[in-house]
Parts: sequence; structure tokens; C-alpha cells
Amino acid sequence: MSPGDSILDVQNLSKFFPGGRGTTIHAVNDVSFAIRPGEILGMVGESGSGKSTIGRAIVGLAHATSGQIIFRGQDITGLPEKKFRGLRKDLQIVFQDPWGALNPRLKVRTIVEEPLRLHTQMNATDRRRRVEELAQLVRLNAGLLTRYPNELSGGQLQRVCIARALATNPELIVLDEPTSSLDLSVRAGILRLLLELRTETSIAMLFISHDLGTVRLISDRIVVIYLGRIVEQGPTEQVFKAPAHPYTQALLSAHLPPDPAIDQGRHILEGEIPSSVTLPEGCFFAGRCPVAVEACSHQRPTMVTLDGDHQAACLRISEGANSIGDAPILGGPKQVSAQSNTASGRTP
Amino acid sequence: MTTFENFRVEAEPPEYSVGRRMIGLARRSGTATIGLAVVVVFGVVALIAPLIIPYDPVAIFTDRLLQPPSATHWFGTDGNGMDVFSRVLYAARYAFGVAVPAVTISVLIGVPLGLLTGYRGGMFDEVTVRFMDSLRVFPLIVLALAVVAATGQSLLNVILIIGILDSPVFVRLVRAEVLQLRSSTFVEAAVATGNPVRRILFVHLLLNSTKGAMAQVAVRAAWAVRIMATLAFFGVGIEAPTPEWGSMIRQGAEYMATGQWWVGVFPGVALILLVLGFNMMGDGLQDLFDPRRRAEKR
Amino acid sequence: MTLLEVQNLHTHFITRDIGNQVQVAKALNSVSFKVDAGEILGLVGETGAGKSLTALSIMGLLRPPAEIVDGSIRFEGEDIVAMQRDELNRIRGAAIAMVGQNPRGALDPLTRIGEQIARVARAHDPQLSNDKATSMAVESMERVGIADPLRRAQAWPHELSGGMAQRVLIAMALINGPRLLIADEPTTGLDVTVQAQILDLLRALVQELNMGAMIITHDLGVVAQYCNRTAVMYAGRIVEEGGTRSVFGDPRHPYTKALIGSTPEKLDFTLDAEVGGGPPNLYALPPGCHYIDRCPKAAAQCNSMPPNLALSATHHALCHFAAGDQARAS
Repeated sequence: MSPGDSILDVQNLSKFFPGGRGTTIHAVNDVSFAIRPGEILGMVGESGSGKSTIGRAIVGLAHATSGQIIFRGQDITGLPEKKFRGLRKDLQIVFQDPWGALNPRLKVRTIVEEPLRLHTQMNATDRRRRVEELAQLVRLNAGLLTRYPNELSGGQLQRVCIARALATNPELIVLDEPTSSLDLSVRAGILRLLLELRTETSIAMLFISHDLGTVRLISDRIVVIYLGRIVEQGPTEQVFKAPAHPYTQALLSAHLPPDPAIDQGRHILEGEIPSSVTLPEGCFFAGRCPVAVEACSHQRPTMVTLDGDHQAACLRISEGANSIGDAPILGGPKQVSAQSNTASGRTP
Repeated sequence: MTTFENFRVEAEPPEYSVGRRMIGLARRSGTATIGLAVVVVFGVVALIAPLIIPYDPVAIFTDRLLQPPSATHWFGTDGNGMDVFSRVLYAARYAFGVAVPAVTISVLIGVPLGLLTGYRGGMFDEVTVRFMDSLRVFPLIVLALAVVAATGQSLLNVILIIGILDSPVFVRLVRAEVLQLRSSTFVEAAVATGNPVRRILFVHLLLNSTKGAMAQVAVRAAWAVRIMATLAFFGVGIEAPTPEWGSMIRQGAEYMATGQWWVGVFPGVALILLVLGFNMMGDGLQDLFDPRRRAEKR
Repeated sequence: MTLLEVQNLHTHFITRDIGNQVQVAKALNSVSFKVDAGEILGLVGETGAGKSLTALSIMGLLRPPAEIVDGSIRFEGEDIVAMQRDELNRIRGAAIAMVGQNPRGALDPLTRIGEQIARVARAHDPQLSNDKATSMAVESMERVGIADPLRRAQAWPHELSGGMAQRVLIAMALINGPRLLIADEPTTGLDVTVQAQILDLLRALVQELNMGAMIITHDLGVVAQYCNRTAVMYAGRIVEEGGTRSVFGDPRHPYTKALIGSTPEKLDFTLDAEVGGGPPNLYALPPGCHYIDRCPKAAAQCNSMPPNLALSATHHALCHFAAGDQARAS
């Protein structure tokens, strides 16, 4: 895919933070991916995987250490805030915590109106109309516009955040765990809204989440990230049905289905995510990987294309030894290997 | 939404108008009510002083020097033959006339500076904080005395100096709040929405960082009244025979030994009452602005 | 054997608001349930349903403005609510132990973890020698699967990962040989791949030590996979309770159905039935069923207190229509 096709192109993005006592935290390591117009890209990873940092770097809230972020063909890496401000109407973000993301002293109407005030020449009447339109778009009772954030529930607040992000008709919205802090029944409503928005508008979204079930529901494609590095990416169903990277497989099998009737044999990984201060020399996952061989601990795997858009970074794919077990994975096919991948990916 | 520890109630008890809040608070906090009442009484006295005082505060009755309290002179007369009662009442005007503009100046300097240093950080913050800390090395009263002495005796100077010298209090309070808010999600969201720094400071941060400062206003007013009186006591700032409690106490102190207690005691009591009133009111304001303190006082 | 029996528990937040009026948030309204030895009860519900508050009430950890206003909590037959403070202290941390969320925040940052665990043992047995307490701590660490416990006992809390910190807390909870373990969102802050490790450990310990356990969570997956029985809470009431398979396979309360239907796995966007709205206002609860405002089946009779209908010997639902559905279904 050439950069021209995509709305956002992230190339070799790395982000390091000082970690105290002269150490460096390698939060994001050489990450490359693209988002196409109108697409929902899911980004899955556990806490500390650097996924939020990537999202923040895209909207200019964190500065990349190296690499490039190209938005609509323009390199926006390290753009000073004054210049970035002009782009913000097309590049928005929704945060995880709706209780904290809204100024508690401003009325909901003022909050939703703010981007219009900042980025458009609309007069007060037009702004008013647009705010009401937005409230309707996010299924927020217009009566709530005159309230303060602390009078709204979590779900309503997240709708306000989405309305604010949508106000200027952006081309890309980064959704950083938008449903994680919400209750189950409220979460469903927000997901439904996002899916509806996708059909009603043509906004591209980067949906960052640690929750596999949610990501599967909403994304066209997904990117799986481990220790700040992409281990696998591809069309959602393909990745879920035929996860190629051992980490993806483990992640999927660690997921607890909310149904006691499904008694899945799980692959419990040993240990925990290693520290991002001292990165392993080879594959980042080698230390916990059940199928790792000697080579994995000193050779960095490169992305292997499995089928069309589906790629994974694992040395053992070429030998067909990348499967961590025979257990069924989220109702998908039994075994995954490089050779059978194309076929199994399409098995219902 | 109210939160008890980690239990969130997604509904609130009924909201009250500001009036009801004040009444509610008054009923709960006796000190605050008394404080407010004292300040209001002094305020009213200051406003209508010219109408209620029996004599001109600077009129000299050469035939009635140092008379004890009586039916004609309720608080007696001082060494110049001036009516102490009229002077004590009239001096309330100076107390408010200095305290209110001085605190306003402190707020106008301290709040924006606090916002800016807290949000910007870096060298600017460092220099400002160090400068303010260095000011604290000297007792403020000594500094105020020195500055007034150097810049000349005028009411305006006194106001400006008290206002400027006390502004670090507000810088510190606001800056501390902003430091916490700076990394909060809603400020990040404001940046991501495309707010210029000016708007982040004066819309988003200002509204959320001034509670502490506002709660301090009455306490700082008490301080201003005290400093003004102290300056006058040392003969700096407001000059005699202008009716001012500090200078009256100074004169009274000289007569204390010889038994003419009324010259100094009445203005002293007035000063203590007003300062106490402001401080008690400040206590109530802090309750009003800080729900945590409110909860503890159940 | 019934270890814990909570009956008719009412816990309220009683505050004075800024208008000086007394306000009562009725957070728990007649909560009743039992925990037997050797079983894991899952207490599920959304924010504000009262799950954690139930745990705090049992542990006697309520702080003002929270107050138990009615009901009893019997642990091995003794009523905890009526107990004196030192009597309660004898039980909590020993016979009843609790593991909370945010494990790292629960550890004292200035004490080595072995010492912290030993401290819990000594708190309940002052005669215990330091050496004995330390060896007990190491033993307990070993039991929760901490490799090389002797060396790990010397570690500082900040050196631990989240999963390891949670293991340390479990070791701490186990040291005095509890008969009941309450785990409040034990895996909420942990990663998916670590969550399973911790839950497997908890399950194994319950079986091995024949303890009773209560897992409080908002994650239906945790309950479905790890709990023998499930109690669903809504607005301070248990609206449905029964064997996990029974509750998930045949949910009778409309809220339970809605909750299960909201999981990403079951979510069906083609259906128009959306669970809208939030929990009811705890300051002004409806007189009958608390779910009335969100329930698609609400009828006039829902304004009166719904009965706790027994659907089988072990499965109950607090709904006027719980049985009616059964008839329709069969």
C-alpha cells in the first residue's frame, strides 16, 4: 500500500522516555502501520505495551523519538504546537476516562461548542444548531446540554467526548480505550454508536483497547502490539481465526469467555511482560514464548506476510512451528501454521 | 455524581441555590456565621460612618483633652482632644479602603502568575518561585516598612505594597493547583481540541484552580488590615491625624501607663474584632469551597 | 457447611449536604447470600451496585458516612455486625482475609515483602518469634507460586510486577489460614495473560485448603470461568443468584439477561434492544423493583417489591416475572 492510499502513515515510530537513574524506557519501538480513509483500525495490547503512547504521538500530545507520522501526506512528526493547532480540527482524540476528560466547570454545551469556536468562523446561532445536531448524532438528550459534567453518567459523558471530537468533522479520531472504564451495559451503547458513526460519517478511527472482544466487534483490521512492537497485523477476522504469532495466540486463549458452557483449554503464559527498560536482544516475546528456539533470543524477527494483508513477526512461521497448542481459540480453527494459514483463515 | 471512597453514586442529592448553601453553611458553622456578621457590621459602619458619627473625627476640642468615656464622648477623647468614638468608627473606612483594593491587587497579580508558572514550568517557573522564596526570608512587615519609607507616605503606596507583597500567597496556591491539573485529562483534551495557551490558562485552568485562592481571600484581608495597622503604629503609611486604628493604638500606648486606657483600648478592640471576623469568615469560606473539609465536619 | 451468611444487609451513606439536610444514599438494600466452604461465589454487578461495599461491610471496614443500618452478617454462626472491635480484629485478617484491587498500592513501600507478610502473622499471634513468622511468610509465598521465595522475601514492593504484587497479597491473606477469602476485583489492574495465572491460583487454593471464597468483579468472564455460584447485584440488591451454569444458561432477571447480552461475545447490533440508562438514584430509589426504569418488561406490579422467586432449589431471581418466563420458555 502506498502512502497515498492512507490517511495516516506511521513509519518506524519509536518513543523513549527517561526512566530515572539514567535508564531509558523504550515505550514504542520501530512501529509502522497505516490507516485508510474511513477504516477502523483496532490496536490491541496489554498495559505497558505502548499503545496509548502511539495514540498520543499521533495527535501530537507526545513527541516521537524517531520515525515519522504522516497525516494526509504531510509529515507531522515533531510539529510545534502552534502549527499543529491548525490540524487539530481534522485529527481528534477521545480518552479513556470520560469523568476526567471534560472541564468540570463548563456546561456540556460549551464543551461541545469549543472546537467550533476555535476552528470555524461559525456565528453563535450556527454553532448552537451544530451542537444540537451533534447531540443528536451521539444520541445525547439535548436537555443535557445545559448541564455540568458531574450531573451526567459515564456513558453520557463519553458521548459528550465523542460529540466534541466529531464537531469539526475530523478525518481521523484516535479512540484511546474509550469503553474500558465504562460499565458493560453502557459500553455496548458506545460501541453501537461508533459503528453507526462509521456508516453515517466516513471518519477513520484508531481504536486502542486491551479488550479483544471489543476490538473484534468494531475493527476492520487489527494491530497486535507487545512491548511497544507490532507482532501481528491483519484483517480482524483473519487474525482472530488464525492468529499466527504465539503472543496473539496466547492473548486470545487467555481471554475469558463470559459463558461457563465454553470450557476452553487455555494456554497460560508463564511470567509477565518484561521491563521496557532493557529490551531483549532478539524477539521481545522469546522469554515467555512456548515455541521459542535458540535463534529467537538473539535474532529480531521481521514481518512475514501470511496472506494478503495479514502479517506477523515470528521466526518460527517459516518452519510452521509457530503454533503454541492445539486448543481451540475463540471458536476458531484448531491449529494454525504458516502452510495451512491461508486455508484456515477462511474456514468459518 | 458523588463519590464515597471508591463507591460512585451516579446521582446527586438535591442541589441548592447559593443562598440556601450559605444558610446551610451558616447553620452548620457557627464561627463562620459570627465572622461574617462581624465583617458585615464593620462594613456597614464603614459605609455610613459619616452619617452616624457624632463628631468630626479630626475636630479638636482643645478644652476636652484626655476625657474619660462619658455621655458626650462615649469612648472618651484623646490627647489632641479628638472624639475617640468617632475616630474608631471612621477608621473602619480606612481598614476596608486598604484591605479590599490590596487583596484585589494580590489576586490580580497572584492568580495569573500562578496559572502561568504552574502551566509553563521550566526556567520561568523556577525564577518566579525562587524570587518569591527569597522574599519570604525577610519578615513581610519589615519589608513593608522599608518600602513604604522609601517610596513615600501615601495611602496608595500602602495599598500597592500590601497588595504586591501578599501576591505570592495566591501565586503559590494557584500554582499548586495548576501543577496537579496540568497533566489531567481535561487539560490534555483542551490541548487536543486546539486551544491556544491563553485559553487553556484563563478558561480551563482558571475555573478549576482558584477555589483555594478564593477561600483565602478573607484571611488575606485580615492580614492586610493587620499590616496596615502595624505600619501606622510605626508611623509609616497613613499619617496622623487621619483616623486609623494603628496610629490610634500607638498614641494610646503612651497614655496606657498614665491611666488613660480608653485612647488605645477602643481602637485595639475594633482592630482585633475585624481581624478575627475576617479570619472566622475565611474558615467558613474554606468549608464552602472545599467539600472534603465539609464532609469531615459532619 | 455454611461459612458466611449475610442476611437482609442494609448499608447506607448518611451525610449532611451543603443545605444542612440529612441525605441518605441507600447503597445496600437487603442483601442476603451465603458462602459455603470449598466454593467460589462470584458477585457481579456494575459500578455503584454495591459489590465492594458488601465486602467492606463484611470486613468491618466501613467508614463514615457509610453505616450498616440493618441486617446480620454471620461468620461460622457468629454475628459480625454485633461484634466488638477487638473481637472483630481477631477474625479479620485471620479467619476472613481479603485481597483487594490495586495490589501495588496495598503494600507498604518501605518494608521488604517478606517482613510485610510476617507482620500479618505476628499481628494475630504476638507470641510468634520473628524467625517463625519469617519462615511462615516464606512458606506462604511458596504456596502462591512465587519462585525462589527466600530471595524474593528480601525484595521491595517497587521491584514487583503487578502480578507478583497480587501474589504477595494473596500470600499475606493466606498466612493466618483463613476459612473465607474475599477477593475484590483481584485481577482488574492486571494484564490478560497474568489474570488467568492469578485466578487459577485462587481456584487451586480454594480447593486445596477447602476455603470459601467470594470473588467480586464486573467481568462476567471471570465469573463464568471461575465461580461455582453467581450473584448478580443491581442498585444494592442481589437480583439473581444461582449456580453459574444455571444463571448464565437460563438468566431470569431482565437485568441479568441485559448484562450477559452486553458482553462483546453476545452483543448483537442488529437487535434494537439497548440497555439504556444508568443505575437508579440511590437517594430516591423506586419503591418496588429498582430496575423498573430500564426494564423492557416493566408493568404496574413492578411498583411493588418483587418476590425472590425460587426457580430451583438454588436459583433465585428477584422479579415478578421470573417464573412466567420459565413457563413461556418450556
